[in-house]
Amino acid sequence: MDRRSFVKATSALSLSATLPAFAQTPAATAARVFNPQSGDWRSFEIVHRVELLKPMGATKVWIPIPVVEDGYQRNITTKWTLSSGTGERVADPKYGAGLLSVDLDGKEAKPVIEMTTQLQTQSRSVDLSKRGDAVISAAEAAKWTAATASMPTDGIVLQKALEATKGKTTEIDKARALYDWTIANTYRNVDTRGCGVGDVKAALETANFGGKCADINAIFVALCRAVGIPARDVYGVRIAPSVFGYKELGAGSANITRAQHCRAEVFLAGYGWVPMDPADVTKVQRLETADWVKTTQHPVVAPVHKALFGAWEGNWLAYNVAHDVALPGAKGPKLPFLMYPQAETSEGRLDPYDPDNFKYTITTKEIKA
Amino acid sequence: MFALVNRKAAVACGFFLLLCASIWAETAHAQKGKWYPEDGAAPGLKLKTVDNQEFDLSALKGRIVIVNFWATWCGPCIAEMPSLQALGTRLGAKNALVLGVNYHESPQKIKDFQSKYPVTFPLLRDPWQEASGEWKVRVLPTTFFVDAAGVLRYRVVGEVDWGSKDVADRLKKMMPTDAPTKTVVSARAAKPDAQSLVAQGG
Repeated sequence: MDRRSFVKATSALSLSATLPAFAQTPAATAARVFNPQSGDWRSFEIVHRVELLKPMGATKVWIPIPVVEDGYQRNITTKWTLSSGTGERVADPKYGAGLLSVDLDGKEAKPVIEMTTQLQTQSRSVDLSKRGDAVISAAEAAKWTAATASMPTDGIVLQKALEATKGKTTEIDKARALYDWTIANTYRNVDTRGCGVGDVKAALETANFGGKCADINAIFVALCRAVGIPARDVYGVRIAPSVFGYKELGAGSANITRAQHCRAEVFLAGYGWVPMDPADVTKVQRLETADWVKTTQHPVVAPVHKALFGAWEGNWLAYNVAHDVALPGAKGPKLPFLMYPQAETSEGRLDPYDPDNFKYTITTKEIKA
Repeated sequence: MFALVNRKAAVACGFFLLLCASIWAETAHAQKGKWYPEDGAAPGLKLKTVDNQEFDLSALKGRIVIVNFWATWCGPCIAEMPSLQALGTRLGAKNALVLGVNYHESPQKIKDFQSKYPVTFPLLRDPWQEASGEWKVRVLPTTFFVDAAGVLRYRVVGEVDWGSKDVADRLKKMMPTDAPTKTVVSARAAKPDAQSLVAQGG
């Protein structure tokens, strides 16, 4: 494991803090606009607070640290306090995913870890009518078209990808076909635990296309990779309401403990990494209105369907783009992705969705100068 | 001696066919799970029960074992649990049994579940997700049929009506009459007493 020592950071921001405007969003039933544009940098402070209720023996905790800096996010500082034990910042060797790794001796009854991150985000949009000269290196293309444990690119995945892109000759047309195929064939399953598991092969083989972002966007990414288009999931969390009034596309309160969300990026030659999010289209279809909308032509869905092929709103932070993450020093298996705090005691890996044993909160506040 | 073993096997098989017939007779619900044929030796399964007792699948050689991977938060797992429990009760444990492997939850969580949904077949814990990894479980519930020779015969992903004719038919096919041919590929069958135990199956 390639470890980096923690640099005690002093905040570059000397800012006052205010809560995001959670109560100021427009009504959900009005005629809709959804048109994220870059240039609206906003600053946030995000606090991850982990409390272990039943530590046993040597205990380890891992909390994802936002590390993505790709023109839409600036990571300012990350610092932490521990009630006991030792912590260090580490990085996943393949993808560079950042982690706060904490070792506890299990002697403290209820150890508490608090990690505070300050960062800036902006909306992101790519004008797909203006082709530029963006290229991707062969090594990067290979990296982002490779199969992962949960995202094979052969067999049924390749078969579905070829079916969906039949007759399409350009990268952008293929990506569009796969985006629409994903939206047409998957759906938001409100009963899916967390963000789903992102097991593409299982989903396609069992024809179980219900899921959440980690399932649906993983299908999209795997289909893209199968036809040779570099693509990746970007794992993060929603940190503010949507300024466009889409309640399902933003944080519902300052408590964002359950607001994890992953998005997707596709590298299109001439355009670079292009933001996409078919999972959020299916979420709007299922949840934004009282009825489950089954079309993309509905006035509430159409603006989102159009925009999320090339744009994101900057009300979300990206932790990492990592797959098959081996937690440093862990006894348990690799994670398909890293979007939730994790912990292991001498008795096993804790369930990050089980608040009776593994309690954590994530809170957000917008910082205005 | 051989004739005695065969007579015992015949009686046991007859009992098992009657058992399957009774399950068949109660069939009503459509299947939701997707079935996949399997072949090859079942992976090992050495875990602790929810009561912290050591449990080893290899100790069950000679019996058909239905291994169900589940979790308390899994809706389809809960939905199929009553019919799985009923199947487990009918099978008993002498010739065939049901085994639950809980995915990655605390003993208390499992006990809380048992207080709401009585389950009497053995429940194992997989706190490090090792078993689910070795058995390549990707979706819950996933259930495996292991025959008396320790060979995987089926994998079913998703919720199943365990009182259905389909389940009964598959159990019939696993009768130990064809088990000796499978012992060739079974790691467990290679053990000295495997053959006689296979003959007890069903």
